[in-house]
Amino acid sequence: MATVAESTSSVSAKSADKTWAKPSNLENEPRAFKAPSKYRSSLLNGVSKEGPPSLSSKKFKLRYNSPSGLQDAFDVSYAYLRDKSQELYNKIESSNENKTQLEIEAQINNPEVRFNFAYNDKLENDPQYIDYEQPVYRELLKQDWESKDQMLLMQRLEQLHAIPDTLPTFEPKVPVSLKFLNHTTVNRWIEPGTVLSSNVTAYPPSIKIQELEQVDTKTQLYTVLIVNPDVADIANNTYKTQISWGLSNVKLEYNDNFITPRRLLEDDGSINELIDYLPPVPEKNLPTQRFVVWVFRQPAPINVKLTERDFNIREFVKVNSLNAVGAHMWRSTWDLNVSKVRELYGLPKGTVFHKVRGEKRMK
Amino acid sequence: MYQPLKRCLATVASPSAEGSAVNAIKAALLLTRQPIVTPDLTELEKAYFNYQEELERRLMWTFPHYYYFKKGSLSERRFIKAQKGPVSNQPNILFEKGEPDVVHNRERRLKQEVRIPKEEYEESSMSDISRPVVPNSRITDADRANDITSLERALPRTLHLLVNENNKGWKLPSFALAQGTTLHRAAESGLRELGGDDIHTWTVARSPAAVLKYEHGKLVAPDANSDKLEREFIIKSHILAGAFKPQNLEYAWLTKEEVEERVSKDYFEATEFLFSRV
Amino acid sequence: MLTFPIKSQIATLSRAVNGSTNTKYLISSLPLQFARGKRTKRTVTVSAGTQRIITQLSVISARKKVPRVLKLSNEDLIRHDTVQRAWTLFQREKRQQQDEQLSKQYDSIINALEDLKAVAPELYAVANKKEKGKRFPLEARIPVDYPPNKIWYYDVAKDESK
Repeated sequence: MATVAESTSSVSAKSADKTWAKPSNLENEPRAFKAPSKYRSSLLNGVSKEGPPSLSSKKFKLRYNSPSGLQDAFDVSYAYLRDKSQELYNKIESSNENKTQLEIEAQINNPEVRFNFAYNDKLENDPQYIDYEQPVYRELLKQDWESKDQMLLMQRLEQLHAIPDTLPTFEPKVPVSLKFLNHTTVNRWIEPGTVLSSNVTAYPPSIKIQELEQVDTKTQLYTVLIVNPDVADIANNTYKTQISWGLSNVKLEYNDNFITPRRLLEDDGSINELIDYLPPVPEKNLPTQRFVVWVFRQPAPINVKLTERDFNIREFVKVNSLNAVGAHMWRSTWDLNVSKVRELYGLPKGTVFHKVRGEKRMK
Repeated sequence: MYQPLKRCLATVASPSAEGSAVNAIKAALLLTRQPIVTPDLTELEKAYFNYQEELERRLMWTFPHYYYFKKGSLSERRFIKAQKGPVSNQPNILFEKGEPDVVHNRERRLKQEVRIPKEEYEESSMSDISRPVVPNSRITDADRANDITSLERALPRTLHLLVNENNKGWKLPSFALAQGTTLHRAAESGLRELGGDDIHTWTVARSPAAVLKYEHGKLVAPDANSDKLEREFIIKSHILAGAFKPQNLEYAWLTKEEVEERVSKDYFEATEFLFSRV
Repeated sequence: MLTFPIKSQIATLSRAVNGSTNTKYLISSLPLQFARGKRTKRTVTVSAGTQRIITQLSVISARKKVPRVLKLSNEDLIRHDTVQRAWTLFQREKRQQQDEQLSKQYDSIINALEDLKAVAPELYAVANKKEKGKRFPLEARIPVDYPPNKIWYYDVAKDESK
């Protein structure tokens, strides 16, 4: 019996069916650890004569040549990586410390996992292929995010002075994506710092917050604040910060974390709307206004309601001991649609500012 | 401890080493033979190097034979004859695997195989400079005979000299210190008294590489401290030529894995890092 | 053309011989030949030295020598990536093992010297003395791919320096 088992394990690296390492007490393996059956064979056993299934045209499929030497190198490498991964799983079973990190390391070299992550939508993920419940996919997303989008976000926040005009500084840990889902806009994710038409922003945004770290999703609550630090304060000849929208006690799942207006409507009352949405209505001839979205992890539920728009975000963060983990921003400027938005929300008419020449500067 | 050794080192007069030695010091010798050939490749290394070479050849520029062979010369004709020419593109012919793309007699979609024209060899003597090169085998007679006393065995590995005195167990050779001598001199002269003068060694340093502590003949931890300790300071040395030829002493040149098989478990644990993995 | 007076033909010839530029009449007077289908040789010739330089330059130039770009399908890209990851992991492990062994050896030297200092200060002083003029031995060889004909040298004269 033992000899049979040994011989199969040594041959399996080259045989038709390659399987990755797994813990011995595994009941049902996550679906996302397997590549789609269409690609699986050519991924693990090499591209066949019919050509790679990832190419659509038959002509190019037939013309395709795999680099020579890859087949042998892949077989040996796969066996090597799988053995290392099995060692890690054995380590997890023997001791319980550092479990998440070891689980990541055990799967991060699995070619099927890497294939699934590389060629599927990372943001609007299908849990069948990219399952963020699995720490390895969160790690892959983190690497992907840190390689570009995180840097882009920090660049926009710093160059547009959202830092330190709203909060002193922060370390982004959670990717936040923003979309305006209404009939007036194109269905598109907003890049941080984009100047948006007031028509687009007439209704509240939909926010996707993808938690990357290992947290208890049943209890962890999040706060979302949208603040506008560029409201003209004529009495003091300066600008002041107003809050446009605020949500607290938001619960997020790893795979279901898109806060849409519909979800807010269907919510059973657990989400607390600090203050209702005030769309951007910039005044004519004033500079562009910034709208900074801040996402916090909150240590305890917040059940207050805000009555005033004037808002001191630093104090609010300090009082509730919030921990800033994610951010996003967009900008708005006056355009022809502002008056319509004002009408829609029953707001008073806006002020038109003029440049005054030759006068002394106001003090 | 080592009565026979002491007898063979007749010049050594060490009153303190008798019976219950107080802080007795010995010099042990770690004598190694460095590898003669490069290490054997693992399966992964072999496959990876092969893959990298294939990639490099695929991405290599076309070989400019017109630079190396004069136009119209006999050698050029011989070279061109030896090449397997690619299939050139023909109009009105369907190429299923894609149309050939031949430039300078090379199929640009594939790697170029440059073949060197074969020359015919006659039975040549060893002195003939144009004889074909046939490399020597990396496996020697000593490997086949499994002769662990030979210095010509296990060429890709580092070999370490171990002795087994009176079947007391395998260990590194150690020597008592004569009055007024130093550790490295004691190790060198001790080795020659055991194994003869026909040996050329190079001692790495005068300072010891490790210390082994014994209490009543048993190995104790390296940080142990007591009055009744016997110490062995290990000096590191390489053998460069000659051989170790002792009289009536069992000895062996061993790789790290073979050392582990032979020595006691606690001895190997204490000295494991001294033996070379390659 | 055939009716051209012979007199003027002679005049033309003499002009040509005398170095006059107009040779048109001379050539046209010779027997006709069809130009089409006639093999013509390239008349531009360069000197041997120039040709050598052209050849040398063409060796270092990429023109006509660069192969097609290597395009990998999605599957093969992941397969290639897997091979590279296995290789880096393999190298990392090898390096870690080496580092671990070296640090153990280093600690062991320090421990041995501290012990020697406590037990036998005079031996410690000798062990730490700088060895002036110590050289790496000339007889030591570096590993090569295949062994030499004579693997080991057994006949050594007695080493007098020791």
